[in-house]
Formats: sequence, structure tokens, C-alpha cells
Amino acid sequence: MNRRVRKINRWTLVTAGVLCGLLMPFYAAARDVRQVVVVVTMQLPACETHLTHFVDRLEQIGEQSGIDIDLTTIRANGDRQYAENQLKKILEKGRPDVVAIIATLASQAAVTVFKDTGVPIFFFQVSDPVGAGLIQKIGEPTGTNVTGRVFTVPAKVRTDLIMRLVTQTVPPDRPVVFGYIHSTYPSAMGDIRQLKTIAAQENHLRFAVHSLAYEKGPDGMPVMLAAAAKGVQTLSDRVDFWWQPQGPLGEHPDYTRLLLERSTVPIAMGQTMDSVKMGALMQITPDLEAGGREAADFVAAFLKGTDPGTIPVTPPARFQLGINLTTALNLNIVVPPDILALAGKHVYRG
Amino acid sequence: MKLQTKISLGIIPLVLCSIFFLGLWSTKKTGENLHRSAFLYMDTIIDVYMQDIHLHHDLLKTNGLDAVESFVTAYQNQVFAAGREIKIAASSHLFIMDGGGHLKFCSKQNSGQMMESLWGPVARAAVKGDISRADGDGHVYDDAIEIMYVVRQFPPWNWVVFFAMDHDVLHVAERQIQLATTGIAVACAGLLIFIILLMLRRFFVIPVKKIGRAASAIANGGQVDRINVGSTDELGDLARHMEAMSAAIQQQQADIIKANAELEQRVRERTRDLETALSEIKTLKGIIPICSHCKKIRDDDGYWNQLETYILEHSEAQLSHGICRECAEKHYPDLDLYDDDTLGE
Repeated sequence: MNRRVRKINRWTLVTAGVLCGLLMPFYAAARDVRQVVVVVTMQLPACETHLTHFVDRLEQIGEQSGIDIDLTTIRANGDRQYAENQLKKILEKGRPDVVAIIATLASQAAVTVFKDTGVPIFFFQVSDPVGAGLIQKIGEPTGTNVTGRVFTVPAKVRTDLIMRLVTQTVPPDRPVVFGYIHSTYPSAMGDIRQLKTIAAQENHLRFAVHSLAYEKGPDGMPVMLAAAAKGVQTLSDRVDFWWQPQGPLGEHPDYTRLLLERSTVPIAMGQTMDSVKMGALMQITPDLEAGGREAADFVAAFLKGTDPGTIPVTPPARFQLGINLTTALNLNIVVPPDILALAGKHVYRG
Repeated sequence: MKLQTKISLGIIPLVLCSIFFLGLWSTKKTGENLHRSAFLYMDTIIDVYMQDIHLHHDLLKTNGLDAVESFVTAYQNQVFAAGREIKIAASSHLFIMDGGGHLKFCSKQNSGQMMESLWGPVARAAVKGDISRADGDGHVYDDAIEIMYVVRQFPPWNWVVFFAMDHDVLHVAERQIQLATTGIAVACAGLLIFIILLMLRRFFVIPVKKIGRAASAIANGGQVDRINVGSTDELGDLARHMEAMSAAIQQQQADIIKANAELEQRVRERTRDLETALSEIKTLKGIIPICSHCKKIRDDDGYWNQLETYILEHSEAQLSHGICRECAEKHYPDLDLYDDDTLGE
């Protein structure tokens, strides 16, 4: 009898051990899953490219969505209030571990909702974070729960590059005039402010500006494009080239189409690589792939306990330059070898 | 002849000969290497420049612009501008000719016609692949001026790229090196001889003299506590041995003096003892007043002492008491003390 009882006990212990061994990983995984929230301001190519590389990189470094992290993606459709409401709902359910934000409006919403919560916030694709009220100063640790990367190429670099091209076609005795039709979206406002500062310092370029109100949401774009069309009509006779603004309007393919179809004025500075493919002479932006990957690395670091307040907000290290050779040849512009070499694979015709 | 002179006479010619032959060898080698280095320098410069030409051409070709004249001309002008920017030696120049021997670009302001008459044949030969016949070893002569050059071809633009340098620069450099080498050799020889003599004097002559003086002092019976030779070499060891030897001699002399003193002291003491003993023996030998009855003896102070006491005090004799036969019979008649035959004997 005793022998039989001992045998049963032994088998019971072995079975319990095996079950514990099998269930332990699920138990451990369940404990380690952390919540990461990504908010995309608008469904524009640049934002989506950033998001794709961000998610890919997270998986590469072992933060797989659904297993290691619970990745929640919110698309705000250009509506800051919508972004704020969605983030508040998430916060009510529970404090997320990290929030990553793509573009300015969503970043402003996240900073408003998560202020003083201690939740690490990393913003990217924001061209003027100081002007947008996200941080106090570029280049220094923020000392708060917010940090990120500036998504812009310094205005002086852009004007210098473009002037090397366009001055080949404009008489040297007068300034080159760029038409700048923009919405009141924060990054566009910050961009034109910087460009005008440079124009004020140098007498060989000038900006003719047409401003229109920013309209949020998917329905806002047609309204803005219609307003932009009026700007094209107003400025076409007064400008040598178009300069596409930063922000949702400048990044939208229909805006490029509008400038190309409604006027004979060439686009000198495009806002996206697609605009160059469509006919803009040149564009230079921070490298979207590098930006997305870098953001993922920071998010992973925050999940491991890095304090975002110790990380300064700096400009990106890698850029993409695109050239449309057909436009250059049509304008009798010779692209200097250093610019052509910088463009690398991003040299387009058509 | 002093030892220092002998050593100097042996070493100085050896040093002079070594430096002379070393200078001769280095001058010869320098001349050879200078020529080789000049070509290496020219090759490096022209290859860097060729890389720049290839880069510009590749950019055009990759982007389908190699047939667009405005781009080609602009890029060739960029190449010329880059050629002017390259930092090269003052006596050298970088220039480009076409396959027909016409000058396209020169980094120096030169007369195109003069350049073409000298370099045109070389350029044409280079294009034909006949460069070795036009020039055997990378030199041409312009009015007896020897010019070194290296040449590269760039067929896509029908260019012949030259980098030329006045050979006289090398000769000047060679002469400067010879002069410098001779000067340095003489200076080195002088310095070396001075150093050798200084070291010989410092480390050999002066210590030997010091040790010699110390040896003389020891020989004259003097005491040498310290010989001022601080080195730890053989001479230093010798000095230390000499110091030890001097100390040992001094010690031995002191021991001998001490032993003599002790001996003299012992002789003096023994003499005194003998004299004392002698004086005591003389007293016993003199007239001793003795009582004719009790046999007491009167001392010098007039006291009468027992005979035994006197003898004990004035001699080294020891007394043993006994009774003679007659006294035994007289004083102890009742006792038969002399039954034993040995008693009193």
C-alpha cells in the first residue's frame, strides 16, 4: 500500500514540474509585456515611412509587437483634439510605458496629455519643436519626460544648396524670388520664419509668401488645396520658383500636382522625394529610415529605464537629397558634381 | 705617452673613418631614394587627380549625362579647378593635353605653344601606347633643362594627364643633403671625440690617479679612510679594496702596538713582583732577634711575635704543627705517641 502511494506521489510531483516548466514562459512573457503607444499625426507618405521603419527596427532589436510589447498605433488625421482624446482614453485605462509621436500636432497633443505623468515621450518628424512648445531649447537635455529629434535641414543649408542651382538661370543683377504657399500648420510657420530671416540677411533671394489657414482632418486637405490654388494664381507672375512648405500641405502629392499644373513656374525646393519624382528640382530632408530606426532605439532604451530628460533634442545626422535631372536640363541648370554625388540613388528623370 | 693619449689615438681615427664612410653611404643612398621618392610623389599626386577625374566622369555616366555638353563642360571645368587647388611643389605642374597634343589645362600660367612643342610628342606617343619610345625613363629635356614627369591617359575624354617636375630641384636637394650630411658628420665626429675624451677622463683617468695617490699614501704608512671614486665599476671596486686594505693595515698596526704595551706592562709587573719577593727573602736572611727561651722573634716595631707568625708573615712558607719525639716524651710521657713509627716524622 505504502509503495503504491509513494509511486502516485512521485508521478504527481513529476507532472506538476513539467506543467510548471511549460507554463512558466507564458507567465514570464505576460509579466514583461509593456505598452508602447505610437501616434501618427497624418497619413502622409513621410509619416507612414517613418512608422514602418520604426516598427521594423523595434522588432529587429527584440521588441516584437504582441509578444514583447503591446504596440498601439493611433492615426490622428491631422486633428490635435482627436489625438488628445485618444491619448486620454489610453491614460485612463493605464499608464503606458512609452509614447512615440510622429509629427507636430500629435506631439503637442501627447505633451499636453502626458505632462507631469513621467511617461517617456519621444517625438520625431517635428521641424520646430521649440516653436511648437514641446521643449525649451535645442541641443540641451530637456530635463522633462519629453525628448526627440528635430526633423529639418538647417534653412541656411537648404538656401545655399538651392541657390547654387537656381542662380544659373536668373540674372545676377536681381534676387531670386521663391513663392511660398503655406498653411498655418506650426512646422510651416517655423520654416518660413527661418527662411525669411536668411533672406533678410542675404540680398540675393527673397520669398513671396501666401498664407492660408490650416484645416484639420482628411476633409481639410481639399479646402487647403483650393486656397493654395488661389495663392498660385496670385503669385505665379511674381516668382521665379516655388518652394514647398513643411507640414501636411507641402508633403501632400496633390499640392505638388497643383503647383506643376496650375503654373509654369518650376518647383525649386520640394518637400518629399515624391515631389522630386514628380518634377521638383531638388529636395533635402532628414533620412526617414534612419529617423524611424533611431526613434525605435530610443524607445527601447526608455523601456529599459533610460531617462528621456537626459537626452538632448538634436538635429538628425543623416539626410536624403533628391534631384530631378529632367527639370535641371529643362532649366539649363548644371547640377554641380558634389550635389549630384550627395543625391546618390535619388536622381530622377521625368 | 699617457694612457689617455694612447686610447685617444686609437679611437679618434676609428670614429672619423666610421662617420666619413657612413656619411658617404647615406649621401649615395639619399640620392637614389630622392629620385625614387620624387616619382612616388608624382605618381601619388597624379593618381589622386585621376581619381577625381574618374569620379566626375562616373557621375555623368551613371546619371546618363556624359553626352550632355553643358554638364560635361561644367564637370571638366570643375576638374580643372580641382587641379589648380591641389597643393604641389613649386617647381612642378599638373597639366592636361588632348590626344593631338593640344594643351587643355595647366596648373601654372604657361605659354600653350611652348608647352605643346615640348609635350605634344609625348602626349601623342602616350595615346599611341608608345610612351616608352618617346621617353625612356620619365625624363624630357627642354633647352638642356631636365624635367621628370609621369603620365596617365583618360580615354573617355581623350585626355593625357601629366605631372612634371624640374629635375634640377632634385640636384639642388641632393647638394643640400650632401652639405648637410658633411656638416652634421663633422659636428658629430667632434662631439663624439669630445664625449669620448670627457668620458675617458671622467671615468678612467681621474679615478686611476686617485687610486694611485691613495696607494702612495698607504705605502708611506698613512691612513686612507676614503678614496673618492664613487663609481661601481672595476675601478670603484679597486678603490673599495684599497680602502679595506688600508683599514686592515691600520688595524694590524694598532694590534701590534697594543700587544707591545701589554707585554711591557706584564714585564713591569713581573719585575716588581720579583723585586718584592727578593726584598722579603733578604729580610729573613738578615739578623733576626729571637728569644733564647720562648723563641719569639722581635719585629722592626719592637713587638715579639710567635715564631710561626713571623715566618708566615715574612715568607711564603706554610707551617704544619707536630710534636717531636723528645717533646712528646717530655710533655706527654703518659701518652705513647711514638708507638706509631710514622708519628712526627
